[in-house]
Order: sequence, then structure tokens, then C-alpha cells
Amino acid sequence: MVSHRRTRRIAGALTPLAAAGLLAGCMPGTNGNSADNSAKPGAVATDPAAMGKVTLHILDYFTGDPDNAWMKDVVTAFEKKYPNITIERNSLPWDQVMAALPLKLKSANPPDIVPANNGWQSLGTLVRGGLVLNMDNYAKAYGWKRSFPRSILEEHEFSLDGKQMGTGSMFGIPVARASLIEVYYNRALLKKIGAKVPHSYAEFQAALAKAKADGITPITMGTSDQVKITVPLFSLMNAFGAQSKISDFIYSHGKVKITQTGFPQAVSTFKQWADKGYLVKDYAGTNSDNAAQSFVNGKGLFHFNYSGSLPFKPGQSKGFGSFVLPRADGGKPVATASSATNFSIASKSKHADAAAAFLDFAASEQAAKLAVRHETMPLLHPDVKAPAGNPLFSDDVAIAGQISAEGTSVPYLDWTTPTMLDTINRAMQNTLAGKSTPKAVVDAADKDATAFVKSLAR
Amino acid sequence: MATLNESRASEAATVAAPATATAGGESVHPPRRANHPRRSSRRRRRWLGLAYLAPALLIYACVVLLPAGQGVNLSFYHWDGITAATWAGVENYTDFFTDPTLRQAVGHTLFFIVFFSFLPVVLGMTSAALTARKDTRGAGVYRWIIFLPQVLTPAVVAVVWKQIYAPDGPLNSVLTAFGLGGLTRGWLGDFTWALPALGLAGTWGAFGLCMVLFAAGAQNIPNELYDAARMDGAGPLREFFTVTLPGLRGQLAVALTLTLLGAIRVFDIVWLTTKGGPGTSTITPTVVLYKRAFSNPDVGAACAIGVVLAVVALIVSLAVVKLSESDD
Repeated sequence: MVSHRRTRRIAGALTPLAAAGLLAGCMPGTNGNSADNSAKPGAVATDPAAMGKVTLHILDYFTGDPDNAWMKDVVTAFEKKYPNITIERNSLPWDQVMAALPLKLKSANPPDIVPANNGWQSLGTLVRGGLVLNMDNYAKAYGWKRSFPRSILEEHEFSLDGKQMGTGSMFGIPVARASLIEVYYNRALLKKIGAKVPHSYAEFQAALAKAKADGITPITMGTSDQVKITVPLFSLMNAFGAQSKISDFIYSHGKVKITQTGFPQAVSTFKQWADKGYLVKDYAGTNSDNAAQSFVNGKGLFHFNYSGSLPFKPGQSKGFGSFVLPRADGGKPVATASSATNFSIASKSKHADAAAAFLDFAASEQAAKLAVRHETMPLLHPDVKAPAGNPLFSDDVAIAGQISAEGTSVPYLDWTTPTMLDTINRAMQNTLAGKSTPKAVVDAADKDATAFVKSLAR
Repeated sequence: MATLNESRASEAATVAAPATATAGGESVHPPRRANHPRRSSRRRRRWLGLAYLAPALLIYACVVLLPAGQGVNLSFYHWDGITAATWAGVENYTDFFTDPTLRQAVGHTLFFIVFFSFLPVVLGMTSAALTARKDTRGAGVYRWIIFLPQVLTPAVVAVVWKQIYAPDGPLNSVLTAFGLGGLTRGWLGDFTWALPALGLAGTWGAFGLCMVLFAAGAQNIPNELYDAARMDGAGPLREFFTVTLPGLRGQLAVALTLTLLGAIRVFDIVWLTTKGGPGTSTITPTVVLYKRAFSNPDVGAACAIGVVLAVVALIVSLAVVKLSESDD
């Protein structure tokens, strides 16, 4: 009896809900900007001193050091040089930035500079929505296209209709700091197994086997937080695939399939490592931070990670070194690398000239020198040298210099589609646990990429 | 009762709370009037009541009804959150049948219902039945300890369990100490064990609530009923089924509603421990929803999951209320 009345009451409550649904029944997303992404004609101002009093708002995800310390120094140096420009930073954790970015850019007063992530997940969608500025005019005025290596530059490029990545106009710009995937090694353990820093792929494999035989964990890793299983995988792909094929696949240029990128060999090799016991026991139940910590504590010979992400105490890094995984064909090592952040200018920004001037400064040699001072990897300026006394950081700077000078970098494979990271992550875990074959990983990635290219409807 | 769980499922509590009143046997009916001599004044009073309610209703409409309506609307589109949406029809809903990940997630929800709802209810009922009539020494302390998980923030609970299940965590240490070193593993990284491991954590979390609900309800059962049952020669089991269980029907409805909704909506502990992994072995519909809404923007698909979860939750709570009252 009560339930009857209750049912009616609930029906009564649902009626306004349905009404609200009808009221809200307009098509979402249509009130946005018409995406006119062409560069505006006319000259742009490049002298910050002549821009009058300006306050620039910057959103970034540099919440921890050395990221934050570097950014703070760059801002201070720029403000000192141009006292008429004031910079207000807003630093939020990565997840929050990515979730809030579209809303912030749509608001009437967006931040002038935003850290939209490269690839389709963030920057590509923003370009298609017309929310970030075409920076070609500034690129011409400041000469960015001449001074930046092509492989880094194209990570920030999209076609005007937002349907092609890695070509067209600049919708973002790198900063003078790198973030790349490298292999760390423990100097003492390497010495213990009587090996030298591997200069060829065969030497690397031999070191793994030797460590295993000597009872030393060859590779420390942790995947329970579902983020870093891709790190060794991307390194292996770069060791097997041709640089141009990998880039072309990620940018979905032409007709390169994932099977041509070295990805299948990378998956199989990774699986072989697991089968041979080269991966630390219980990696699946350990998270990546704990794995990094245990590597720093001396457990394990090698560790794949992003540059600058090991939790060293002061002086502790002396026992470690880094290199890029050597290529199987003996060619120059290729690294998955990018700027530590992409910075784009909001298309609604009222101070685009000042914003571009600051971004030019953040990519300058001075900014690279500030990066080195905070012992974080520089980018774009191969001449910047590491300070003495930190051998690991010297290795890092040498790698970064090589990337900048020779252009031997490829973008992150997960930029290929908005869902690629999840797809590879899940499929690879299944395969390492013996739930599926290596081919299943390749098939899943191929399916994901094909479906996305189709959805772009070029 | 609702105050115990205000944050968990306040809507569930409001649905279930009247059930306890009726189960107590005192159904409240307004006295019926044969004619309506003062109809106009009553109507005026009703409008006055609505006027008092208006500010609250307005806010409710703005923060709940309108977004809910928008959510329903969005669920019929493909939308990345930025560019123009395209009409999807019911495609986002048929995903529940065609998308293997989502299908798997629904299967995990059924699994979680056992661990988050049925097990705690059974355990809670058992412990309440055991302690209800005997003045166990220190019963209050036991209850306090068992109720503790209810007081802790889900984030804290997740961190604690992550530590317990870690490869070098307490669980593996205990196993090794008992000579069962062969069984040790990273529990949350194991395709077979991650799901039951999270399920057990959920059982632990909900058990205390159920026990306190039932223990409190059992104290309201008149002792005469037990005496009568004993006079008729009932054993402890018979006593439980003829006296305790019917007397706890109201509490059972509350406990079932809260824990079932908890199982359907489970997100925090999964997200904070395994993020649905390894592979997709612990993925739940809410994790899929979160991913689609925020990390690989497919807002329409996320909304469709939200709508389905809301409807299922509504049906489940209605069914529980209805079942608990059917014999009245």
C-alpha cells in the first residue's frame, strides 16, 4: 500500500526530470566557436617592452620541483627583463588541468597560456573546437620553424581543420625543457656482473641475461597503477622500428600500419623478457612510484622511466646512469621525447602578443640554462652543458643534446588516439600475464587506430 | 538510522526509512474525512507549504534536476566535450551489449553485489543474532571496532587495503610466517585474485554498518516474543527464523538498499587501488564512466552509463522496499 503511493510519488518526481530533459534538449556543443583556425593577416608585435602594462595568466601543471622551480625562475627572469609585464601562474595537478581545460578555454576570461597536452586527447580536440590560437604568425616573426628541430616542432602542429596532426600550423610551442623515455642503470650492479654500459642492442640483451644468471633483478618496474607499462614498450618499439614509420603512424600520415612500426617485435620481446624472468617479481602488484623507489634503493639493474622522475635524495644519483635503448640495427638511438609541456595560447586571449613573447622566452637558451641549473633536462639548445659533479645528469644532458641536434625523437605512441593509452596498457598486461598472445596487443592497437582515423572523417 | 550514513546514500535512506516505520506495525494513515467542508483553506495551506518549499525546490531543480535532464539528453549524442555533437540515438545504450569492456564491468558489479551486500548482511545478521540477547562482556567495544570502517574515509580505506595486499605487505608476511610462502603474490596485480581481494575489502567496509543496524533492531524486539517462542519449544535456529528475522525486516531493507547501491556505484576503492586493472579484471561501470567523461572524452557514452546506473539503482531500491513490505 505504501509502495503504491510511493511509486506514484516517484513517478511524480520523475516528471519534472523528464521536463528538464526536454528543456535541455538542445544539441550540445553547437553554441561554441566556429573553428576558424587560420592565422590572422597582419604583423604581430614582438617587442614586449612596447606592449604597455599587461598581466598574463598562465595555467600549468608544474606543481612539484624541479618543474615548479624552473618555471618560477623563467617567470622571474622574464618579468625582470620586461617590468611592464606581470605574470600570474595557476598550477594545478595534471588530471585537474586536463579535466578543466575545455571549460576554462570556453569561458569569457580564459588563461592566456594553457598546457594542452599534445596529441588527440587534448590539443587535437581543442584545435578542432577552435579554442587555441594559430601561432604561425609568431613562428614566422620569431623564427621558430627554423630554430626548432623538425621532430619536436611537428609535435605541436595540426592542420587548420584539426584533422591532421604533425603537419600544418603551430597551435602550441615547446619549452626549453625535455621529457623523454630513457633507461636508467645501477652502476654498482653493472660492474658486479662485469658488463659495460650497453652500446648495442645485443649488449643490452646480454646484460639482462647475465644479471638474471647472477641473481640480480634485470628490470625493475611496477604497473599496478596502470600507467608505466608503456615505457619499456615504447623504448623497444624505438629500438626495432624506423623513426619515420613510427612518427607517420602516430600522426596517421599516409598509410603506415602499426605492424610496420616495430611495435609487434617490441611486444614479443617484452613478453619474452617476462617469460625469461627478467622483470621484477610482482611488478603487477607494485605501483610505478614504489618501483622507482626500489630501483633507487639498489634493487634491480635497469629501470625504464621518464627523464627526471626518480626520487633521488641529494647525492644519491651518483650511483646511477642513463642511456637511450640502442637500436637493433645499430643506427642512432631514437627516443620517445617531447617538450616537458606544450604551451598554447587561448584563442580568446586579449594579450596574445605578450603571451607569444613569454613563450619565446620559455623556449630560449636562457630558459634551457635555467633548466640545467635545476638539474632537469634541457631541450632545443644542444650547446647547453651540464654542471660537473652529477654523472647521471651529464648522461641526461648528453641525451637531450643528441635529440635536439640530430632530431632523433619520436612522439608518444599514445597520442595516436584518445584511447590508445588504455588500449595498449590493458592488452599488454593481459599478454604479460599469459592471458593472450602478443598478437592480441598489436590487433587491439590497430583496431583502435583504424577506428579513430575513420571517426576523423577526413 | 539515516544519520549513520548520510554521506553514503542519503537518497537510499529516505526511500527506506518509511519502511522501518511500517514494518514496526504502526502504519500511519491520516484520518479520512467524509466531506470537505474546509477545502479552500486546505488548498491555501498547500500553496503556502509549497511557497515555503520553493527556495529549496528551486535549488534542487538547478543542481539536481536540470543537470540530470542534461545528462539524459547528452546520452543520446556522441560528444567530445568541445566540438559539435553528433546524434547517436540509442547507440550509447546498446554499448552495454556490444562493448566487451562494459559487459565485463557489469559482470563485476554482480560479483561485487555478493561481496558488498549479501556477505555483509549475512555476517551482520549472524553476529547480531549471536550477541542480541546475551550481554557479552565488552560488546560495545566489539561493535565499535567492527563499525570503524564506516567512520573512515573511502580514500583512507583504499590506501590501507592497498598496503595490506602489497607484495611486501602484511598479508604476504602472515602467509610466509605460516609457511605458506608459495601462496604469496601481489594480490591486486593478480588477474584471478584482484577482484575477490577488493570484494573482501568491501565486505569489511559494509559489515560494521549491517551489524550495528541489526544489533540496534534486535534490541527493539520484545523479550516476550522470545519467551513465547521458547515456551513453544523453539531451538535457537527456529527462534531466529520466527522471531529475530521478522523483527529485523525493516533494518534488513535499509541494509540491503544501502549496500546494494554501494555495490552498484563502487568507484573509490577500485580507482584508488587498481584503476580497473590488471587488464580490465576489476573494472566497474563507474570506472568506465569516469574514463569516458574525463580522460578519453566521450561524454555521451559516459552519460548513458550514468543514466543506466541511476535507473538500476532506483529499481533496486524500489524492489527492496516492496519486498520488505509485501506481507504486511
